[in-house]
Amino acid sequence: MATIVRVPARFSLRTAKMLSIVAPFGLVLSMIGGAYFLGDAGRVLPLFHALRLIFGLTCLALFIDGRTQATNVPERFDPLFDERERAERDRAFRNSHKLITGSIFALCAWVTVARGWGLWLPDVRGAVDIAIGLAFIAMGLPAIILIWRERPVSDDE
Amino acid sequence: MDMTINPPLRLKLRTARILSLLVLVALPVGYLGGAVWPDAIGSLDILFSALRLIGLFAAVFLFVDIRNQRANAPDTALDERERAERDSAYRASHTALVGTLFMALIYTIPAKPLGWWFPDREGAIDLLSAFAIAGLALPGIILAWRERPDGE
Repeated sequence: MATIVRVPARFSLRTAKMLSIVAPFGLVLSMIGGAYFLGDAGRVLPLFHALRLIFGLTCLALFIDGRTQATNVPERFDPLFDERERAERDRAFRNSHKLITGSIFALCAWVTVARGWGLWLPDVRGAVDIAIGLAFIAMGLPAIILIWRERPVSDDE
Repeated sequence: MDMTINPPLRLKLRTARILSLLVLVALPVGYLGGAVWPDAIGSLDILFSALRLIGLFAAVFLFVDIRNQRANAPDTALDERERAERDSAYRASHTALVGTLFMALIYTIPAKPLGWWFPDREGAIDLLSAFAIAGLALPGIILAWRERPDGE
């Protein structure tokens, strides 16, 4: 998106792409890892707390980027964007919505299979942790899609 | 190659709106009630089961309706205005889904220490399924409520 929205930070496209891979995958893996490798008395290991914090902050860095801010402004700010930008943004939301509902159905399918075959399932607390990670990613997903659709304009990208 | 939408069902706008309300009310109440009172017996159990069935059937009717078919149609089947309306509905739908998910997750933070209700595994799976079904139907529902009743 080319429209300038007043934002706390605007990363280069390469940095944004790197963050968009590291942050969601790292967060989900640390959430699942923390739910799988439980310590004494069923508590999450300190290592996974640290990893969650690190990847949570990485997600935060991605959220303060201009591209994410542009997807989160309310509809009354739509005049800030031209028609093409609005279309790109809304298309990213559409793909994001499909990915989220698809992921939830995949989770439900996993639970059904796991119960039948005796595979691993998190306890309720672990499931909530994983859901929190997915919710964070879902919030930033339209921006991640926009980042990967953006074409590099300058030579250094 | 341009495509046209040939929906199996073309509901009246009023019918689609009534069904959409049933999905948004009966489905959450039925599943949430079943999760909060898993040992409910008698009329309460029948009520929750009936609400779930009503919500699910309403969702199925909405899935095959023209509005939901339009929401899932390829770009070539829609003109520019229809594409913009559809994508805008998906945006609102995404915002609603993520907002609901966050509200539910915020509830879980004080729920355990304060001893509020917390779903067991079965209840959580049921709620997640209901959330996903409502999420699938939501873009079509938003399109139904944004549609102007001129053609009727």
